[in-house]
Amino acid sequence: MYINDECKPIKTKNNKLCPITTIEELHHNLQLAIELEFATLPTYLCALYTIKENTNICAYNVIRSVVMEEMFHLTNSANVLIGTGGFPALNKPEFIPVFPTKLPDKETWFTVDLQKFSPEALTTFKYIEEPAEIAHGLITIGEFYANIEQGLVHLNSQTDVDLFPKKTHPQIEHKYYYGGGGIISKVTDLDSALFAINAIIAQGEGMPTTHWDPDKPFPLDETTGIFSGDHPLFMQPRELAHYYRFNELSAGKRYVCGDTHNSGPTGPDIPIDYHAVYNMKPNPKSSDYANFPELQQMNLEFNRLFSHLLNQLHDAFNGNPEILEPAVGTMFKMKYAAQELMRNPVPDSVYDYYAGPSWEYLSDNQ
Amino acid sequence: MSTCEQFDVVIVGAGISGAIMAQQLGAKGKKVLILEAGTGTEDRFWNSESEHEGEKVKHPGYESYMDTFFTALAKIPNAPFPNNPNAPQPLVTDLAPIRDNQPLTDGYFVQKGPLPFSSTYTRSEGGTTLHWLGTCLRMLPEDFDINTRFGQGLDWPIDYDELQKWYEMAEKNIGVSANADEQNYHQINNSSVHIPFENQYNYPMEKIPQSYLDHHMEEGLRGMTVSFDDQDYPVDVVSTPQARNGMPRGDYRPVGAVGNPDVGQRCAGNSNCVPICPIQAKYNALKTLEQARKTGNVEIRNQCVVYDIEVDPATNNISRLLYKQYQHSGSPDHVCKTVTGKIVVLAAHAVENAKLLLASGIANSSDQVGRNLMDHPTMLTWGLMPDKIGAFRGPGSTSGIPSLRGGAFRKNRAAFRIEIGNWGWSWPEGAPINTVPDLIDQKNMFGKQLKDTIQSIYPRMFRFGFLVEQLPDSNNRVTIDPDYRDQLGNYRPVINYNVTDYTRAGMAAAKQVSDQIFQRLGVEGYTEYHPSDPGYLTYQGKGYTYNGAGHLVGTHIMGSDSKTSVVNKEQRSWDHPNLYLVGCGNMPTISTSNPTLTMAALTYWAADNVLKALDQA
Amino acid sequence: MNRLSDFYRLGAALTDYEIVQLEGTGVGEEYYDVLTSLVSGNILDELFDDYNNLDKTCSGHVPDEQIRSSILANPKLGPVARNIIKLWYLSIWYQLPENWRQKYGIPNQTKNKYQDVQFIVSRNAYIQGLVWQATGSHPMGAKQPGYGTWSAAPGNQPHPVNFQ
Ligand SMILES: Cc1cc2nc3c(=O)[nH]c(=O)nc-3n(C[C@H](O)[C@H](O)[C@H](O)COP(=O)(O)OP(=O)(O)OC[C@H]3O[C@@H](n4cnc5c(N)ncnc54)[C@H](O)[C@@H]3O)c2cc1C
Repeated sequence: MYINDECKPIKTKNNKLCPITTIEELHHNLQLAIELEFATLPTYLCALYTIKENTNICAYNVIRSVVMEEMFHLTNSANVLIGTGGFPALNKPEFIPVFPTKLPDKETWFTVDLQKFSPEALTTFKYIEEPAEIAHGLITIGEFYANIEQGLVHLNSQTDVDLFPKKTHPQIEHKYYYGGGGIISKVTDLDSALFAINAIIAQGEGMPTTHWDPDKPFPLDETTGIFSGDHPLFMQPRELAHYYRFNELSAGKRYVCGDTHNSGPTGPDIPIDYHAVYNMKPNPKSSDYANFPELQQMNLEFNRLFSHLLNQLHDAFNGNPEILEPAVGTMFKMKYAAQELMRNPVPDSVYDYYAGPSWEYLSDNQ
Repeated sequence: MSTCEQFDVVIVGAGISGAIMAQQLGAKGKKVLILEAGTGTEDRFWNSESEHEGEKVKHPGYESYMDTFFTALAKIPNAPFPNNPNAPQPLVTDLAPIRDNQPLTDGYFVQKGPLPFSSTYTRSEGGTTLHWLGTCLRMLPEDFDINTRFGQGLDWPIDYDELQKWYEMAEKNIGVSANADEQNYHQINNSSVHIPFENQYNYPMEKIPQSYLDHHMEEGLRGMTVSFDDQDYPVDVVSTPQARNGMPRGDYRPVGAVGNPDVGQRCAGNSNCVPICPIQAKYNALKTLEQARKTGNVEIRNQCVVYDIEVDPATNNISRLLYKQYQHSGSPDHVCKTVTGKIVVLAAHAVENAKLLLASGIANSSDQVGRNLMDHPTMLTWGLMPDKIGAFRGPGSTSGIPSLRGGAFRKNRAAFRIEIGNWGWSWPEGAPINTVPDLIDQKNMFGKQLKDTIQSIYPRMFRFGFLVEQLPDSNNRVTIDPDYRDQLGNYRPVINYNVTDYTRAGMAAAKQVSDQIFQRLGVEGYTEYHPSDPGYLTYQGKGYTYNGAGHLVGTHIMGSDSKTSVVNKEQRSWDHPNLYLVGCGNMPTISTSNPTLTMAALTYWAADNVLKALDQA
Repeated sequence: MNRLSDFYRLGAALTDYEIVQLEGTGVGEEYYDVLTSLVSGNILDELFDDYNNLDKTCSGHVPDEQIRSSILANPKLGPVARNIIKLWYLSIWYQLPENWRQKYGIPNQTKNKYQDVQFIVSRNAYIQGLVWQATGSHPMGAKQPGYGTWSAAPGNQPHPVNFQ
């Protein structure tokens, strides 16, 4: 994923990020990090929920694993923000992109839709997760986080800045975060802050390297999950970068020993059934249900849960980490509510579309 | 003999006791083989397929158990697991009252009565913990010498203090969620139940949140006492320690599902611990088996039923194990094989261990093999709470009333622990699936009336389970009979079982406590016991029904005298220097705690003894 | 005339759930498939037509007494209607009553996918039984509600959002 000032308010100069020199700038960047990590979730979750029960197990697990890692990144950024005396904000409508939304792809823009699990959805996912190495001339997420790290180092060296104040809100402890993604650590000083950010960089697209060779085979080890033989955990997502995990799905094959970026996956087939998917209308809107009060009610219920989730996360990051516990319950409810919608045909739809949730934040006065 | 394979240790049975033994020994570099009678899933969570010589071969994973569970009409504890005639298992649906001394022979057990033995177990890789509830209570210090204190039952050759460090080890490795400052019961005004814990000790995970029902009950019963023999005892609700993933303490990392480790790191409230936790947030022995395999020193061979054990007459050592290996559970075709180990460990569970020893004619100089079979006859009472308490949610039980587990009354009658059930009337009545048809067919409800009835009644359902202590009794026993065999030609267990007045008096006292609690909380009682219930019995003119708890204890008890016990305190056979028995069969009494934690603690200790024996040899 | 939508319409009346909720289970067509294999077409036609022809109130609602007298109390249609309720609530097909089978039953044929004996429709169907929602819980073994949710008061909804 790439960043520039058109998609999010961030200071750049000659397509380079401006160094972070004040606490306010640091907090602004960390809040942005939270928003960026969150922005992909509705897209991934929509595709995930359209997969019918007990089908496409491998695809389901892969998308779920990416979602868990995005949440892990979000939580790490939030901990750094809290640890440096900031206040994450998640409970506002601007927090959620309006779909279809635009993201920059090299020179042009590409559209990110809410859509059912499909080859097109996987293409979008790959765009979103494109490795830093192939994004010459653009600011990547990797660079964005590296800039935050430099900012942390810089601010930490300033004698007049209390970068890690004693009294902050409690952070999210590892006991509140589970189910994959990684192990949350507490941020108390520069080392632990860098550790948290590094965990994101290492898991994401990584930093651009000058000696990246698209024809070099992937390393064989625990970190990629590519083994020489057939892997016993066949249906398990592997530690490959997100782009490659999605590429395995869109190719319908596993990477095996000797495969490279350019070769793509050449291993055994991954069973994928694009028919075992609810035919959700792309980018559902509440206005789609204007004439169907029962569906409108269901969508409202979903948005109510979604808004409740954002409020809970906001509260969890602002003094009450234990609220993360019931927030997980809200996430499960959202899944069941979304699927109820997705099993309902949109009446009179020309393409035989089914309904889907519109992912809107309802503030108290709405 | 040259084809006979050799291992440091051969273990019979891949349940929790066999798994602990294998993992402990494998981690210390010992070469271990586990022979498991049932089929297995070998670390797979998902079902998969592979090609072998042009043919598709299916490899069922843990998910195959879920498929079977969901489509099974009778959701009994063994519902998810394969019905395997080569390694048959007892089922609760086999039970019926035993009339006119006619033995029940339709199931796997041959039940000679006078009462039916109602507990079951699972013969598949992972064993009975696949469907256990996961309650992990420690025994009370007074439970170890009830003969000395109360003139009842037997004393153990060990005491609580000796077992304490092994309890800690078991709690850590199994992964138990609880708070030590509650589980020591020091808050309970009955010193008989107090349990000393090591000062700084705490469980690896915080206690599992108590259910709304538990809180409701706790409030309603606050300050309540009951009186036995003119002495008052408190009725206190306390959270139950559970082998179920909760919030970790310190650096502890909850262990997720085998083959799908990201799921199951916390209990997600699937409300299905028995018969099967879909995400393995509840501990099962597959987790320890996986850890054992990962040592690189343990081989687990499924579909291998051990049927005979031979002894070298010169040394009295076990010389070899004989087993039948089969290809498919559908066909009795098999090959007979042998294997030897420097040390042999039987971990096939109480009934099967005893059966195997009897079939081989070994380890029985005391004549105690198969005897002293015990269970917790479990009496249920059920009713409707005045308000909705949110039944059918959460783990099967998150709290109990442990304050009546000990006291002077044990001179006269059995003690009991009360389990508070979170799943409404699912155990006593099969609700909701078995009860809703009646609303439609007999009560003629439909539409709003039907929905309103379910909405207003079902969330108020609740039940108690009274786990009543049973004493060792040499007439309650497992035997074998050449007339009763399974499809592989192996013996089926023949069981004689009764419940003595000591336990019946405990049931009667339990019913009185239940009545008082119902009165206090305003519960609308629906409890009924019928002579047609398999576990129906009477005491002083009143009828009661017990169910099996799944706690099979005491078929090869440990003791300090080789004439009256089968194993010594090291859990080694008195008769054969290289034979160890593990499992609940070693326990001389059952007391009021679910037995597996104590058994696991004993098994860690036994593994230590085996290691020492191997290193000395 | 679309019989599947008739099936949903009648199901909604018999269960007191909305059609979108029934469709939201995703297994209505599976139930319909079971029903049409085990009950003859003309009986189902009669059942759906009878229901469609019942007098509606001005809000489009059919009074319960009418459903009771013309469908549930009808010896031919009643047992079928009760089985439909049980399908939606429990996802189980129950064998039709003996006297009904003798008079109206289709003989069981081995080649049929379904037989008129008691069975659970499918794994997916089982977890969609309406009884779990009505009970205020979730199907045991599926649709997990999340850690600690069992501590909350029953039927506890998220803080209400003020829509107006
Ligand atoms: C419904 C239910 C709920 C329970 N809940 C609890 C609870 O909450 N708390 C508690 O403490 N306990 C509980 N238990 C009891 C607990 O499950 C058992 O005590 C425990 O699993 C016993 O472990 P084990 O390893 O000794 O035997 P098992 O787990 O039964 O394993 C024995 C293994 O040996 C294999 N085997 C048998 N015969 C042979 C042979 N001849 N050759 C090779 N292999 C063989 C079997 O196939 C099996 O895999 C429950 C039991 C049931 C039935």
